[in-house]
Amino acid sequence: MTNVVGKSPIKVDGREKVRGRVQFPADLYKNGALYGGLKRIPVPCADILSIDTSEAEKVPGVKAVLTAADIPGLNAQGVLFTDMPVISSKKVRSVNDIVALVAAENEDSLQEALGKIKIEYRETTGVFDPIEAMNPDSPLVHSDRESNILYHVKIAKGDVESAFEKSAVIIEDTYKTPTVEHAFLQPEAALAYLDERGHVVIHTATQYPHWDRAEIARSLNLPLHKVRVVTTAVGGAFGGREDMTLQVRLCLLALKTGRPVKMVLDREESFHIHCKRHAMTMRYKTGADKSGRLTAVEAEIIGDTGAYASWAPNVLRKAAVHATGPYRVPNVKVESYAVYTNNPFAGAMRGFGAAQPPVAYEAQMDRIAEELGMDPLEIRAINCFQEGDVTATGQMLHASVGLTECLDKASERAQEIFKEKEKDISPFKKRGQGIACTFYGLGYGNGFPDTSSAVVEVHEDGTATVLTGATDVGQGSNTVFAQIAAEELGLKVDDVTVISADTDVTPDAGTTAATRQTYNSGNAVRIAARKAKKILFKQAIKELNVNTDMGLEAKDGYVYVKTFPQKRISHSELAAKAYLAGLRPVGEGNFIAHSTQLDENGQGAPYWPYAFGVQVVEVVVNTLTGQVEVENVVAAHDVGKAINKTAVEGQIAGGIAQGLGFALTEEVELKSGKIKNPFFSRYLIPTMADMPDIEPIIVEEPEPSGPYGAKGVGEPAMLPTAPAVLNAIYDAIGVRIKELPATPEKILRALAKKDSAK
Amino acid sequence: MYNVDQYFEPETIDEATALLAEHPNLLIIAGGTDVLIKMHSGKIAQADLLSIRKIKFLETIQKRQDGTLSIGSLATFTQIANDPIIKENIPVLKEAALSMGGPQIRNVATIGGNICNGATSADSASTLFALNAKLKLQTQGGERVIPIEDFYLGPGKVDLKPGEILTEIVISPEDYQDYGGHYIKFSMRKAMDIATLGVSAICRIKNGVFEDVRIGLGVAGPTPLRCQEAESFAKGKTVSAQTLAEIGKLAVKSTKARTSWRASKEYREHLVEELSQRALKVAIKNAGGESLA
Repeated sequence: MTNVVGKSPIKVDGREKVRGRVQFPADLYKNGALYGGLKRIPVPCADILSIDTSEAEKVPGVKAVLTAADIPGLNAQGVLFTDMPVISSKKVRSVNDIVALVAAENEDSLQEALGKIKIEYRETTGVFDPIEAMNPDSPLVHSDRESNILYHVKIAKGDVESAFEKSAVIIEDTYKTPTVEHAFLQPEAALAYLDERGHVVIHTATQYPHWDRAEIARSLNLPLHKVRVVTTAVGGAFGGREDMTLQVRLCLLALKTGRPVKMVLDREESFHIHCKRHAMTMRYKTGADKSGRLTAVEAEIIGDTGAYASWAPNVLRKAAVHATGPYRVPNVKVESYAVYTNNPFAGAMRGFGAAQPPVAYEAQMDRIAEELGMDPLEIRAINCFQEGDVTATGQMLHASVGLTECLDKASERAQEIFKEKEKDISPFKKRGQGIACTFYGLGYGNGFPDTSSAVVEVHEDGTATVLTGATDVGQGSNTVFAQIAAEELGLKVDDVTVISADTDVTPDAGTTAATRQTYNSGNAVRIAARKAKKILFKQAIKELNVNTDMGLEAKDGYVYVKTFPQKRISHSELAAKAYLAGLRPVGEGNFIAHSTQLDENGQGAPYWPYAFGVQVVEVVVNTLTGQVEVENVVAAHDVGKAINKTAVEGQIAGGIAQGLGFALTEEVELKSGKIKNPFFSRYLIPTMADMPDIEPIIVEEPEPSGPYGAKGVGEPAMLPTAPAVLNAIYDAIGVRIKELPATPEKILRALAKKDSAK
Repeated sequence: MYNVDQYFEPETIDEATALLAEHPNLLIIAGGTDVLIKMHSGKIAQADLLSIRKIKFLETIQKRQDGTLSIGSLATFTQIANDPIIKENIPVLKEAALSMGGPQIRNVATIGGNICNGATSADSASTLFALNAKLKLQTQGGERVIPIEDFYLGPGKVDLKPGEILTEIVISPEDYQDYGGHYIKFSMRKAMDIATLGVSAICRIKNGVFEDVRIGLGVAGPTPLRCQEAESFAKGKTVSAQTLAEIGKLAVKSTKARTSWRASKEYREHLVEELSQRALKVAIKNAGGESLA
């Protein structure tokens, strides 16, 4: 029985957030700070002929106008490849490119100077369609490369050709998902300065301060220890804060001016500076035998990474690995490509390549079921992964496969909710239900060293501090770490302080991404806490007069003998005595997730563990207008173990919100590489009023390597929503939308086509 | 951004009109939910502002003894949504008010601002068109009262002459008494969205016959508009599904819809045909008529 883990203490930063006391980067002020700004050119694709900053420099109040020549180190940034200039000097490849930086005493001078930078450029022919970009005759986005195809991965298992020949049913179709924006509420902002030691310091909202530090140091030509990245409160991230946006540029301005510099982007700039979700075109061919068992899946996935790589290879690899869905498929052939275009660059976004394929494979599942006269639930039940099954990459799922339980629980609850409701509400209002199953491999994967570190120190009064580099982006990782440390040490959550994501203070714990912090860093904190406890127990052996610490336990503020609980000592007394005896209960924890690289046939164990989820969605479609109203979502997610139940439910609700936007309204509209809707009045995310009733069901199929059995839920929460909505629309009105978002106009057009076909 | 040189905050209408007479370049600001957005985006590069927010008298909503309804131009959408006079006499305007923005915007945005901004998508406008509302425009020297239809000149363009302030929206008793109405805002999400189409229908019914029908549309043309042809057709016709179907078809004839990022012209016209009937169906019920299926 756990004491704190599995309960729902309020978030450690909850009170401050409710009171408005938490500081986001835009809330930070420093005396004498300059205003920083970024200069772009209004085209996505051009050769720069000259940049003249002389008039801008003359503007009163202007302290620096910087171009590429001012960068002391590497003028390039990027998480995998350094293909994105910090400041573009010869070529502009996308609307993301920045050609100059300005720092000024006030906003007016800043704006005037930005306007006075003279840039001569010649527009060049760009390529904006990834399939066209794959053609060898297309203009190269990066002239030093031989092709716009940045990455290609193949997964091959069995023999799809002969399997299709023997299949009773084959469904073949193409599905498309658009470019999508993270739409976090807090636009990019940061404050950078040189501290009294001359070190470069930046306070910003990021997902991985240690990585930011590396990029800043590389471009500023500084040793790592002279750069400090401090993470403020983060107003949402969803993958959009992994690449460099302001970090290197603002630090450069601070270094060159010797003054603090602050930059706060507005929404339009924010849309232009961070990555997007990869638009994908997914061609699928799925076969099944007459009993509904899947025989083969062939898929080709093409992802548009825009002008820069960011995480594209990893994203398209994740798409390929997840392309079959959480189902046993004996014969698989997947080809997945990441392609450069002159569109805004794409990178990480919640789901990381595992969010798009479900739109295709879950539609395919329903269509096979329909052909065979089967229920959508039944076809999933007979195909879904069980413990001991082998994935498309040949990976053995040896533990923690809670998919069947998710399927059972979600469908059972959905039936209870939906059974009384009529399908034909009125001549023009139709109700429908849809189901979708998804899985998600946690972590960086593919053999990458996926490591987290943490330090736990127990103080002389028995309370404790946790240090870890993991950023809490709002999801509640600091609370989870406090719970884990409290659990191990036998303390209350209030007895633990978590200091996170400050490179001067905390050890590297990797990115807050890939649904990895509870699993990875949670494990690191647990190991660190156990080591600190072990030192306390050394003293306890003496105080309790026992011969070994084996029989000791820490719980409810005491260390006691498990088999004779009367024999105990309070934490505070024990810690004080330990300190007097010269002991220092400090523990350090390291955890490395295990995965292997894919071989040339895409075989291997690329991720571990896998989280599973099933959502059942109920919609009402208005056939006069094509409008979809989502009434209910039942969401069952196998998280291994919920360290904090409320936080898990919060993630599920948030994931559904993001999934509904993906399904129904969200699309970054691009025209020749330009963003047509970089505002929230035209990029529509769901509001509170649009949210359905949500019933979260937490399934806990323990993962032996996770802390207390925990896996994670951050990304998995959004994966089933969109495909379930699409399946529900089909159930309601008999039209299948294959290209997101499912707007009323698209639905109405599909309805008209269906009626005319009759 | 927010490049404001001069800012005035008069407390009476006389002060305000005097200031306007003296500084004809002043831009009037009330709730600021349009003006400030235009300044932020640079559509208005620089402005000298005359705020009318302190002229408390302009917040008044009243029903005069003769039944005339008067809505002060500074009445906020929240105020209109909660006002007992509006609720009792023209609940269709309450529906329109509640469809606008979100709570925070409704708390500051004013009905006068909504009209003077000149947008075809203004949530209050189609209903005020249907109600034959008149606008009272005051200057230092005097005032004029004009039908709201005449006030709209083009997209974002209204007939607010230099020195004028919109002070009051007036609805005559014969234009609303015994009418039932309904407003449908069609948008891509349920709050914080600009209408893809706004349809406000009101009608008066006697013995199963339409005595009068008025339909105001937003985003069906460059300005809000009325469906004259459909309205004249409806008068004297039996309330029936066939009549409604014809009204829907004729309503489209009054529109000048265009393709925008929100919707194609064809889709908007389809919505006009369907939603004018849907709105009218509810209006019929609210007017005491028999509901149609």
